[in-house]
Amino acid sequence: MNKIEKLLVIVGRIFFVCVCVFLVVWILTWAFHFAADTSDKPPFTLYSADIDDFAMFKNEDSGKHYYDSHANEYTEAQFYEMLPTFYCKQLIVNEKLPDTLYGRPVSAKFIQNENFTFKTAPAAVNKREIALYPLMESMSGRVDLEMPTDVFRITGNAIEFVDMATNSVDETKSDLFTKMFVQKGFAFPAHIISGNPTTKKEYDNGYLITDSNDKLFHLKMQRGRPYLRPIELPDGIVPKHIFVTEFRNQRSLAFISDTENRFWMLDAKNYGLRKAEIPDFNPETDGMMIIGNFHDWTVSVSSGDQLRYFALAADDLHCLKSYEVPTEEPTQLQRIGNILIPIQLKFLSGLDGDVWPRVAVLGE
Amino acid sequence: MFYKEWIKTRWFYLVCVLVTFSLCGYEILNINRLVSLKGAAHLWEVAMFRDAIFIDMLRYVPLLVGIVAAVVQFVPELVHKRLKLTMHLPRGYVRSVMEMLLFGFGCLALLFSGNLVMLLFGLQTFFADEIVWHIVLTALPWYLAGLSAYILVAWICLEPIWRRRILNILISIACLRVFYMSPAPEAYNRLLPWLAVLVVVSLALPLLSVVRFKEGKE
Repeated sequence: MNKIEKLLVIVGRIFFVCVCVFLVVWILTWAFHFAADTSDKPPFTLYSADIDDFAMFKNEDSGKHYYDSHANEYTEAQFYEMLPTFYCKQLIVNEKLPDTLYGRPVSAKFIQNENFTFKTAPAAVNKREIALYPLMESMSGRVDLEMPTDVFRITGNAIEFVDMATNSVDETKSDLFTKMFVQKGFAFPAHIISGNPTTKKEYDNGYLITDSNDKLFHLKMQRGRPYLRPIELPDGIVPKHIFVTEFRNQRSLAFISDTENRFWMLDAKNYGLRKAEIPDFNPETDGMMIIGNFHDWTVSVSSGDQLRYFALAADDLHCLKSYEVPTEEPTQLQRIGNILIPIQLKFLSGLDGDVWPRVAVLGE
Repeated sequence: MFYKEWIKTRWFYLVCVLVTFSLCGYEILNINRLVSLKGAAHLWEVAMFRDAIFIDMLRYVPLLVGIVAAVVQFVPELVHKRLKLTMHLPRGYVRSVMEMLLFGFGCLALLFSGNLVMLLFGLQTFFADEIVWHIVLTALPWYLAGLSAYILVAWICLEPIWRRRILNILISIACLRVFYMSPAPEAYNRLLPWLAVLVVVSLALPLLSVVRFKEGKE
């Protein structure tokens, strides 16, 4: 064998050893998690203004269990009455829906109109998306929304509408919208483009877009014409993730998380920002669920093994109450596994859809 | 050496060209049929919002081609004991086997590139570039798996010791599993460059078996 051949054989040997070590760690990690992982669902938790505490419900082997964060027990009927906005329909059937709630006269229609649910998970936020977006007609005058026949993309110097049937750029419409973008001072290309491209919603509020200078814009199409409005943000607020809400009550335009992991609500009426009084929230690593009503919002923030609940006042989003679910101690099997397999290797993660080697040392 | 390998495998590669290009053509025709049945907008929507990639049928085709290519090229060498003759050529046995591997690897790379180019042009007829690349990037790991399968099966075939051969089979299965861990579109984008490097480096693996073969271990 000459020198190159010898080198190739050495490379082969090193590669073989590396592959073996890699595969053994990967397979042992998989086997360990297969045997040791448990999936204990947290109880359903909602803030109840009636008891000024978090009301919880868990379906266990011994039956349904209703309680609060101080371990006070409740009956099913009491539980429904503690959460009148969430169980509105049930209370109507039981003829127990009050006329006045939290000092405000209410009707079933009003309550249902104000209720909303918002959910975001890291896997959805980090998902690779195709950068094409359908822009619906926001003022069609029809009850049902319709998907358009074209989609838009924002390039380095224009917004282009591509007709799906012919797979070609609609130059007239693209020029019309691009002119509006230029006129409003939009600096191409876009950083964030966020909307809800579905017809399964009450109304369409278009897209919120940030330009290359992180300036925020609201884009809609009204009777075939572009609507682009720049939104002034207070100094120091740079949006990182935007979630267009399109809730039935039409109070908010979007939820925004910024580069400093603060969480804001963008008001639909005056485009003003209201800060939610919750600790750091990073949509790329943390999950969030909000169940809101006209009086308060229950915000759950999950970050790794940590699960926290916050009750916010619906009017100014100040924190009324917070509760952190106690973290479960690792089981005996998990402890042993972490010692026996100090270095663990996984390719998949719940945070994103990417296949990528992720190494954890000592059960991190 | 390349000419010898070409004589040995030319019919196989001809069949591969026919089969793989036909399958790519079938997928493109199938998209054309769906466009006429349901409209282009529907296909765009399911691609953008429901992770449809329309060419799922091709997922395991490169893998199968890679496995069969290695079997077709290396099993006759062992059955007819031609590998022993190769060992005694004056040009060096490692070089000879490396050239055999490079021939197969090159042919498959050419075949798979042709398939991908055909898909690229075919899909551009119906979809915007964003969707076309989304689909092609999703399919790329399947083709890398095909190249990897070729090298790993060659490694298994050339191994003279049966116990080691079984170990090689197990390692190969685990390695190939890496290419099929997630069906999500573009899930391998970050890993693709590294996988490509590892596939090329893995060309050195069959040499270990050849060295043992030369040493007379059986």
